[in-house]
Amino acid sequence: MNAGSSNQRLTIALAKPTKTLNDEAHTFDLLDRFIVMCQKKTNYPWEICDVDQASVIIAFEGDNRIEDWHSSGRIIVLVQNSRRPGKHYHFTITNPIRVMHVLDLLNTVGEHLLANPVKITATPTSKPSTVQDSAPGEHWALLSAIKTVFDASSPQTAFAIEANGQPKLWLTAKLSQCKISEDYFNNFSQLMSAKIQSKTLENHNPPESAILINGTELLWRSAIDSTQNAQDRAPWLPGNSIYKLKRWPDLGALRAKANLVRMVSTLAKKYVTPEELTQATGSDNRETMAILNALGACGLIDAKPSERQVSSQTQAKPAAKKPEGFSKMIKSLRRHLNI
Amino acid sequence: MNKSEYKIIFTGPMGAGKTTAIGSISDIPPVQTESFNNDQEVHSKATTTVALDFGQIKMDSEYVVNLYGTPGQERFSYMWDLLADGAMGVIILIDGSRDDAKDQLLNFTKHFAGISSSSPIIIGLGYHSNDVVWDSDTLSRTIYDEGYALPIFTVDVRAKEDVTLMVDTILCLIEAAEE
Ligand SMILES: Nc1nc2c(ncn2[C@@H]2O[C@H](COP(=O)(O)OP(=O)(O)O)[C@@H](O)[C@H]2O)c(=O)[nH]1
Ligand SMILES: [Mg+2]
Repeated sequence: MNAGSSNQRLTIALAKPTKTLNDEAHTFDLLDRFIVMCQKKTNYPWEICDVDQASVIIAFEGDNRIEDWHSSGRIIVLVQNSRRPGKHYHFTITNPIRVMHVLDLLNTVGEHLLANPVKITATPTSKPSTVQDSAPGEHWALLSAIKTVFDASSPQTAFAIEANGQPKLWLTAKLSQCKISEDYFNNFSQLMSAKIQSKTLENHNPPESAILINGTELLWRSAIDSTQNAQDRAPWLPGNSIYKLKRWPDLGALRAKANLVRMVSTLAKKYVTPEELTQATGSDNRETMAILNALGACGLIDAKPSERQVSSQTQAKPAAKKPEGFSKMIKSLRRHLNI
Repeated sequence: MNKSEYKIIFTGPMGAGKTTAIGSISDIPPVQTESFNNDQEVHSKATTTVALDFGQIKMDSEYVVNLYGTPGQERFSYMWDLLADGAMGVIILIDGSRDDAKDQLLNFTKHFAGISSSSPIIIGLGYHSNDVVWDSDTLSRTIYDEGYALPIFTVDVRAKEDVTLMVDTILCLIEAAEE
């Protein structure tokens, strides 16, 4: 296949883990997008390709194909969960992955590869995998894609998120300038079952018909739609935790209903477990998890290990005027205003 | 009279929508009441009057919520303190299509958060023209960085639901604190 020091091609592939734990799937997604984002910014002409054709393979710790790939002459970049010496593999990348790590990695490995060209001796029989693909309907694909763009983007960069090969969302770091195609605006949940890709754009030129949508609303809607049941915790939301609001979502832009207002207000006052939140607000467990996932996606929530008990932190300041009958008055006011 | 009276304060710079917001939820036609400016330090003419907006939510025979709109100019800020004392909540209105929205927001936030009362504060961000000069995310981060984790909602106070959203948030925050 490719060999020869004079014309060494810089080919790289991200190997999809064979068994995906929830967190690995998220890391895979992140890496996937970071590589695409960094591709144009590296000092070297990297080509993203299938594992079979790659001189460099980024693989997850524990993937049993690594030995084969390694002995066929490829350079392995090991994705590991904690920083420790990477056996005989030269290169490692450690969770949590940052876009700058990926850029550094591409530069370092590029330099190394040009100085030490590889000769691939045999093509492993592994299933091909491409970096840009997310399987159709992959659980957190859309949300991860949007989140990644907002987490990583600099104000100068614009992104398109494609669904089944067609650009459908146009994102910039300025949340108020995001756009969505008309068809998906009205049928957002359609996006959840599409194959998602994100691309850096040279210029931000959505079609005339695209509809302005707030970035927070995009994250929010996709988080709600991604959460199918009460066990469905998004990969970036720590488990076994108590949660408290860090900063408020724009409930006006989200056209919040009473239940959401109650949940967010409760979270603003104290650390709670999802169960306590459900109980305090009279909602259901799936809705609670969806909202925690959405707040997490927007970076608006704080989490602490749940060993700490809740009651000691609930001492909020009393409201200014709270005579007898206050809660009766609140009830009556709600009824009057039709809330 | 056997009514329990409560109050909610609407504040913000001139033209931000205080009168409009009160009109959206008041059960009586909103009126302008006059209050004497008796602070000679602040204003030289002792007889100067200060206009306040006033509206009422009349729930039933038992309860009334008075709605006050503060005078916008900062020179009347002594009035803000008097009005905010004992209020259920304070709603700060800001027009995000104005260049000075961020400075105005910081002024009002600092002032009302500084008043020694624990009334919830809600910020309503409207756009009176099509220019989104300041979006809610930017403003929310701005006040967060100054130490205020307050709700900022994009609203159009000409719509009753948008005003009730802010009122409901005040109620929810009071309840969450009570538990
Ligand atoms: N587009 C838009 N216009 C508003 C909004 N709120 C108020 N206005 C308009 O802004 C003008 C000033 O509002 P007003 O309530 O008198 O402001 P005040 O000085 O704070 O009492 C009026 O013409 C309102 O109709 C809003 O949320 N959106
Ligand atoms: Mg007015």
